Amino acid sequence: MERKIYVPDMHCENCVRRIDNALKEIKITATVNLETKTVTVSGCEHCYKKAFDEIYDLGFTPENA
Amino acid sequence: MKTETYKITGMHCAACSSAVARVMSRLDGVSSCEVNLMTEKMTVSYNEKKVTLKDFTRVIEKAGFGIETCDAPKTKEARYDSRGLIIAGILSIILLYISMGQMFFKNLPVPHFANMNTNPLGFALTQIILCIPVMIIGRKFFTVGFASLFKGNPNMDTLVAVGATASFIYSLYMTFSVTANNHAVHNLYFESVAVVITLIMLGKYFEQGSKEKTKAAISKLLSLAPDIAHLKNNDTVTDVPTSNVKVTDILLVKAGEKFPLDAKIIDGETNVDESMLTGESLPVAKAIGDTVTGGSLNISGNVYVEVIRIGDDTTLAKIVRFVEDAQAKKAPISKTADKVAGVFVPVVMSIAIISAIIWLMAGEDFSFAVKIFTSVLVIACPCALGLATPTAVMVGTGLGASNGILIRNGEALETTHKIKAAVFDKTGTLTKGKPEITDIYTEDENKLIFLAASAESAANHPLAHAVLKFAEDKAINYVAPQSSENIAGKGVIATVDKTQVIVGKKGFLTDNGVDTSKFDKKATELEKAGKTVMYISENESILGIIAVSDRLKDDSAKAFAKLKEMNIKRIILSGDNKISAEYIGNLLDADEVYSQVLPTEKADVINEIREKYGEVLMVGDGINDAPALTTADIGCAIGSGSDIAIESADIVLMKNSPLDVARAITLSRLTMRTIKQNLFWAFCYNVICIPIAAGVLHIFSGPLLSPMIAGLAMSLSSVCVVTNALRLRGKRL
Repeated sequence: MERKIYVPDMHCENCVRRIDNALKEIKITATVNLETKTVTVSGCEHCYKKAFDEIYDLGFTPENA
Repeated sequence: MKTETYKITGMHCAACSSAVARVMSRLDGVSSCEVNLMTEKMTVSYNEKKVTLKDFTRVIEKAGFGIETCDAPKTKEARYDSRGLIIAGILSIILLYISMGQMFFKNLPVPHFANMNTNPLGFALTQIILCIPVMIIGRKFFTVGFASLFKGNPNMDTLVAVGATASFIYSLYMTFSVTANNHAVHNLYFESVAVVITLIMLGKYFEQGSKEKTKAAISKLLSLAPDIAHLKNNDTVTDVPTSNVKVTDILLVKAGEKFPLDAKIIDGETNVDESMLTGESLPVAKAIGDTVTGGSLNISGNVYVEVIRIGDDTTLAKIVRFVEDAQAKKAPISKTADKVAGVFVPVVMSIAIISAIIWLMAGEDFSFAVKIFTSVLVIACPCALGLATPTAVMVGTGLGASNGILIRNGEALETTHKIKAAVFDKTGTLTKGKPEITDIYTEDENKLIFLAASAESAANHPLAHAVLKFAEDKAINYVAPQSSENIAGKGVIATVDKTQVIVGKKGFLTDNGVDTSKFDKKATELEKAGKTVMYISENESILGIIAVSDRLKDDSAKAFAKLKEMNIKRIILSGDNKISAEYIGNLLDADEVYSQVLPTEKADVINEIREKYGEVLMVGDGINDAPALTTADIGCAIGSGSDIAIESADIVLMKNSPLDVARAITLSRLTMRTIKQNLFWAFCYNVICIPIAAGVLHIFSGPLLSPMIAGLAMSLSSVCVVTNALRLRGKRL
């Protein structure tokens, strides 16, 4: 299952890298798209919540897409 | 409650600094947190009972950044201190005197214990005692050089370390041999080891001095803004640190002081010296409503200003960041030099080993082979190669900054010299961007201006502004109209002193029953010259015409002439009508004029021009030209500092003068020429000196290079490269 998280304050490649690395570290499969400012999480509801919290902890303001 | 400042590492952009601020603000107990991207500092106010540095570290590291206390020691590049250099120099001179003096001048006084002929062992031991301290002073070459050799990434220090170690070990072996054979005393190279290390340290010392000089421009900029501001609070004025000032605060800036931040004058008038920011030498008059830039000097009067930008947003902060970015980023040519230097070291080491082996096979003794080996390693030090580009880029961008030309990075500096066509936006770039009255045809000029200005006094469009400004300049006291009706795109009908006044286009007047034929011929001529014509009537009878036009900047013609001289195509790209654009094009002798181009089409036109001529430089005055600025090979924003689109352009011209386009190209050409000269000489030096050091001349009974002379030559090559780059500073753009 795939679900998207909208991250409006993702501005540059550096933001993408930070999100990407953080999600990889907690073993979550996701693709980060700077153009659409979204993170597509592959996995269950728990994975989605975990990814959401992780992005929040990185200092972003994630929203349900 | 406690307030502390920390250093934050790993931030790259505004998004990073706001992320740090956000994660910190979410901590329970943190009342405020401000993060400055430029200074990499975070100031946090917090309740120490609820949160500690541990919590800060946890959330900041989790967010992907680092935190350090501000007093944490900085990892600065080890300095080659002058004291060590002086000691090494004195020891090397003594060593040189003892070892070489007796060879050249037989009667030189030398203490008995160090006499080569009477006490060979004492002679050798004295040299060891003098040589070892020099090696200790220059130990960095050995630690760094061998460490990088073992990591498989040999560098210039490796060459020095391997060469000096080989000489030292061989000389040590010869010292032991002296007891058996006095003749071995002629094969000692301790003096070479000491002198090579000293000379290379000297070269490094000069290099460091030069590098610091090139950084001076930035420090100068940073020190421009004062640390203290006079904050006005109701009727009192108190001195506060500039960092505590907020946007909309009112500050008093006295004559002779510098403006602490970007601000707008709300009371008083003065002259401002902006030369450190724009390079413009003449003071600029500023009155209520004008903006002033932080760091500029208030020359003549006390003024009250309202702060409009603080911290990272100030023009000064942006300039400093721009210059720092430029100096930190490498030009493509620099990457090529790095690649060459990467293969250079292993190649030189191979040449040293192979030539030593060949000489051994040719029947020379071991001492000779060591001399060759050491000389090749020492002479081929690639630091001149490594220094060639960065020093020139640093000096070039510094020179640009001091002339009001900010260049984003090495790549922009390099590309600019290849430019084949320069495309200029018309309004605001080549022209002043504000229409002015250029011609008036009437029987009574004062009356015409009085009526037109009075009728237009309530209007708010550029043509009305031109008329009002003209009236003010001529000291004509216009009055407010009893009534006025503004019909957009046509004109205005007003009642002034019980007289009906119509100001507007010809059609508008004829529609209102005014016969304009008296001035039609003149009006057509003016319109052909790209001017906008306004007719003015009084009680339905025509009074005269006023022509308004956006005047060329003083430097536009000079800029085009200079570009023509430089063999660069000059193209005007304008959203304005064909007549106006072509009129300006003719005045400036442009090669091509594109008119009525929409902002969205400007990028396509740039592509078209690139296909036709090659690399394109686009000059625009900001946001509406952004697509074209990014599409062009070099985007050049022109503007007076505060309103410039610094982020989107490769080059920013602070002085608002199109002539700086030509100057920027000259700067790029000069810098590239310096880089090429540097690389050429660095390569040439190696191509000539390595074979000599390898003993090629010796085959034909020519001289052999001693390792000591090789060290001197190597150091001189580095100093030459840096000095050549520094020569750029004295160039006039």
